[in-house]
Amino acid sequence: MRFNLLITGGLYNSQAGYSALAFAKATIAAGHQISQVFFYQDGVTLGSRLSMPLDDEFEPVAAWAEFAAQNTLALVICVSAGERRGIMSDAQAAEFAKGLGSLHANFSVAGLGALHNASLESDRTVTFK
Amino acid sequence: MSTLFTIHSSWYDTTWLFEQLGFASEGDSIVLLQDGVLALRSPITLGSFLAKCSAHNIDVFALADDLNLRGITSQYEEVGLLSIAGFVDLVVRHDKQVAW
Amino acid sequence: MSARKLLYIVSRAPYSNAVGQEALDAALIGASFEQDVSLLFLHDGVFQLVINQGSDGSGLKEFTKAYRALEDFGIDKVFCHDLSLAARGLTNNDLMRDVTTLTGEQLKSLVASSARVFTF
Repeated sequence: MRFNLLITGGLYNSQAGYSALAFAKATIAAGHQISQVFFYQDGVTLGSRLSMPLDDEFEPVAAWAEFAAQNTLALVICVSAGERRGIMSDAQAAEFAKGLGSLHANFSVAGLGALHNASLESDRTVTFK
Repeated sequence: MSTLFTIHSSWYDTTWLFEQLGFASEGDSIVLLQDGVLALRSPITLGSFLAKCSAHNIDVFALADDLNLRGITSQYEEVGLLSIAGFVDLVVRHDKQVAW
Repeated sequence: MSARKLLYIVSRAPYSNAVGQEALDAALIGASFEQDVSLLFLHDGVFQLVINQGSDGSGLKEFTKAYRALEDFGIDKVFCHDLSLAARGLTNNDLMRDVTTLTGEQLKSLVASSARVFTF
């Protein structure tokens, strides 16, 4: 079955990033496909390359980036929700004259159309808040 | 079309869903996860909610990992304990998910 | 592919978060895909539609004005849950636009018949 995931809970105000990652791993282990993971609302903070937890803490951004790289998974940040919260690529940051961007290299940026495309083409859309 | 309702927030923030709406239909399922599992420590209201679910043939589950993390053990036989793999299977068995 | 039923549910009041704006953005994109879009205001979400919002131009933007023009963007199914209104002492006369009020049973059918449900 084809899944797409929607994560709306933020880096440190929700367990969503952790729960969705465990769910994504189990989904792939069960032989399903994940077409896209879309980060919206406070969920965009999971794409921050500048997040720096203490050494012995779980690192949500790094964990997602590594999992995505291993499984060639698309991690997509909503452009407008990201810009509101200061999560943007180098190109966006340059456009706004804000220096370097804050988006992790394993994430990309797209509009809400990408969420709807993925949702309409998948068998299941699963949201984590 | 059957629906899988997932409850991600504390029972005390989402109890209105159950009280006002009775939103689930026969054949739907409910999964408590993240802070949703705190519902298993709401003995006064949870009992009547589970009775209602049972009467309408709505299954209720809690994600075992999230219970364990919070040091909560289920005292309700009606609540199925769910592994993360079991959660994936439940998503497959329902036509859609609605997250709260 | 024929149009599918997409339901967007707003259950939070405006101004203390971006939930309303971001739910609206998502619903408008859904409608631009020429899908069958419904927008439902539930629980504290009914406060999004209350008349006489605004702060004399200073501070927070009164983004909820956009709810008056939903039809222009292809969203003509706008619902409020009747008990959510009643519990807050609100009637249709307190709202900035026409809505269809739904009973709990009707709401249950709306959720059941939707292909995708996005909650905010």
